[in-house]
Amino acid sequence: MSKEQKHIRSFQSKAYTFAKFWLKAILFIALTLEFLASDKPILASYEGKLFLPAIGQELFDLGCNQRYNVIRRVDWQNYQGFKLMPLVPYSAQSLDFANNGFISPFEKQRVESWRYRHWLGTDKLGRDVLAGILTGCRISLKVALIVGIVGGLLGLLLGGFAGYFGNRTIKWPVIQIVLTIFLIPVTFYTMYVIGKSALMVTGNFTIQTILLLLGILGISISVLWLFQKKVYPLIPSIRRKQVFIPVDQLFNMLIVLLSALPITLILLAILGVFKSPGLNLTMLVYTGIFWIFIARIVRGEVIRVKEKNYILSARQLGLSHWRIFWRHIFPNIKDQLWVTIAMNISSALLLGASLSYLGIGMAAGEVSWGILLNQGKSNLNAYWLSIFPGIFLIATVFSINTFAEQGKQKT
Amino acid sequence: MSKSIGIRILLFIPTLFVLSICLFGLQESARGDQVASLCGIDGTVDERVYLDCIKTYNLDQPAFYMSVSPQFVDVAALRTIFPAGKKQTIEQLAYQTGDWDGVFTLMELVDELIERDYSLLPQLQVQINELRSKYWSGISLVGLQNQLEKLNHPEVDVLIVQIQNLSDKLTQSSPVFSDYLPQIDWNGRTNRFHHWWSKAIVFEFGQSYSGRSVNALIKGAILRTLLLNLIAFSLAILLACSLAIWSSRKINKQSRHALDGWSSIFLAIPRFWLATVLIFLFANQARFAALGFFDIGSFTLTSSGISLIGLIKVYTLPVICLAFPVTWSIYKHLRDKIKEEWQMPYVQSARAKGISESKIIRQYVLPNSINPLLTIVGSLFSKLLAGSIIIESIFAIPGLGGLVFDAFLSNDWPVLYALCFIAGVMTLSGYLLSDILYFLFDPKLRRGGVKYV
Repeated sequence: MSKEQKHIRSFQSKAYTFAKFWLKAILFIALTLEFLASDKPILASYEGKLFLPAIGQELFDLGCNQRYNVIRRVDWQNYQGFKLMPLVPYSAQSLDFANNGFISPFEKQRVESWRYRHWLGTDKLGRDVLAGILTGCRISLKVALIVGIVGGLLGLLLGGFAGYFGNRTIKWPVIQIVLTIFLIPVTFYTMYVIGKSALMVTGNFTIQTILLLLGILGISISVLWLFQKKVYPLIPSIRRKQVFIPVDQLFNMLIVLLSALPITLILLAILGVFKSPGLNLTMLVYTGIFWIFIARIVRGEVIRVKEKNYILSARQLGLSHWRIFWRHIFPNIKDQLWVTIAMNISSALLLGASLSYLGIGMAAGEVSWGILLNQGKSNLNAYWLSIFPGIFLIATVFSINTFAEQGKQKT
Repeated sequence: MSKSIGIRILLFIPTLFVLSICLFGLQESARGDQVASLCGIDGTVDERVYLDCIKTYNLDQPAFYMSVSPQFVDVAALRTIFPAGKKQTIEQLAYQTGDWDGVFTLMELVDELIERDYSLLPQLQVQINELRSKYWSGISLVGLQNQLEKLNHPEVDVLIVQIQNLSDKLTQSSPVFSDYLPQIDWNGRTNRFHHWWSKAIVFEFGQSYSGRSVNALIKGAILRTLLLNLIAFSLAILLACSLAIWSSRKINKQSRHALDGWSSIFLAIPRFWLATVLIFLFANQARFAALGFFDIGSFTLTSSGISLIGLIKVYTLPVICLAFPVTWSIYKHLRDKIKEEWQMPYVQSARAKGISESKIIRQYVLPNSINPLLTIVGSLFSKLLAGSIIIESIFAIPGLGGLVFDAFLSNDWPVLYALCFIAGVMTLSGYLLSDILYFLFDPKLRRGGVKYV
């Protein structure tokens, strides 16, 4: 190993160590949020019994102990008995009226003891910034999960489909294509009429209506499937007239269409349809567009791999497409897939933060890093509202990028 | 070669069409009943004023080239029914009874009842007013019958009996299966989509909801954005290229690796955070009097001409924020590519010929590694717009990005979707252009030996 390589390795390994530590910390905080930042004690004795009031709401919802119904309403701030408060004795939403109006971390704060100090200051309404940042970790985990799971699955399946079958594998009888083209508008018209009639006659959607609509969709799909699998094999003259379906070409057209607009603009254009989109909806819309960029990478990788000899021999052995894809292609593209998903998660975090910084795509009461930064924008002198959440955001994005970089070098 | 270019041009047109259909659909669903509320939905406005108003936004026209509806709904007649509540009542009745002619006659009769002059009968007038307010805000058939039963005055008896008979008949009827069969009307060219699309294709976007024309708004904003972004992008490309060249050869290894390390940290810094910090430090005279040199806001062109100091004061910080992430991403790309190219045999042979290092970089390595930059150029306009949305709204610069942001927040959909359309057209034609350029300039593709995907 030359001196230069050693140097690169040392920086990269430092960054990688930091990234590992940081992501683990974020994961830990996101999973144990209630025990780290909550205005209710972790452990408290109430009327002679021990309780976990911090997760009382969740336990009550699970139906654990009916007494939590009482526990939820206790004023824990002024409770005198035994209580073990979390590290940050505030939750992201709890208002501290004594310390409202942008109290700096170094200012004198009106608190009972150092235990109740706002270590990173407060915002306009007196909410603790540290608690907000810790809650932001959970929001970020949520974003990462939505983008990672939904986007990754869609991208893998559809990109793999386009790449694996290409333009000249799937053959359909001409009459099947005609039937499909005919059936699509018919299905949608039927769904439209039934939905509208239900809305007009009864005044609202019921679960039965939605099931009915899904049933119609299912019926038309199964009609197509039935014709393809059961009816056409019986009629040889139809089987002879078959044409290729250019799956890959169609996929490329979709890519061109979706990359015609920058992602921020598409998001604004779609979010305009919803009246007050929350963070979850924003991220779902984001994933609904962004899976295509994962799919593009997957498609390229699948095309690279599928010409290899072992795939050809697997095909010669007569393995099913499904088995070839999962057992022979997927293991060879998965490193690249993780890298792409990680890159997408980091850009989703940045985009989500910048949208909530601008005040788009956040519901009332949600707290995330972007929303804290948004408050920092409204009062520039409250630098603690910009600096600390910003550092958390940057460190997270940097860690994910480093992870992706490490993975890229492995492939 | 000409065949591939021809196919690309042929594909360009349907793609553009599909894009505009998508944007138009989004615009229609985002709008909802907004125009109706702009024109006065609650019936406080005169009917003629309302009809004029919906004409300016083409709401009296059908949405698309053809309209599909069940047999018992006449979409064309439904569109011009005046208060939205009444329209809803009629549509609901049509779906419940499946008898459009009967419902329409009922509507005419009730209208006649309501619009008569009752100034001599104040007690009846009160009852009629109550009926009207219910009828105009949505009412069921049974509700209508109940309301009518309360009116028993010799003045209106004949009419009421007529209405009662008709509504009794309607109560018994319900749509049969054949009523649901689609009735397809071909609307020709008088429809909203055609109107929007044929104007948009020559960049003519009509009126925004704020009353000003969209073109005037865009024209007032586009110069600022272009100026800002051109400065920022050229600065970023220059800086990134020189940094990449410099760090690949001239400096010692330690500072090169420091630069690499810092560049991956800088890449994680979002623009808006940088903007906030820069504003806090350098545009904050109250706190740091010595540093607070810069201004926030638009730079207006006064009659006395452009002052350089004013330009610098307003545009420096946004330019830095716009250029910052771009610089580091281009730098990273270029560095990796230069490193790769440096191992190539042609560099060695050039060196063996005695060509100087700087000339090798400039004439041999850089042209080969700059390829990824060319793909950026294809979608330059939309990239500019995307970057500007955040920066211009933070720095309160009234450019295109600020326009998009304000349009989104104030629900001014014509402006938002017009800008989306412009960005889409620019990007698609940029792709087409860069494809053609690739075909023209890349010898591998020109000979048709390698298929370009």
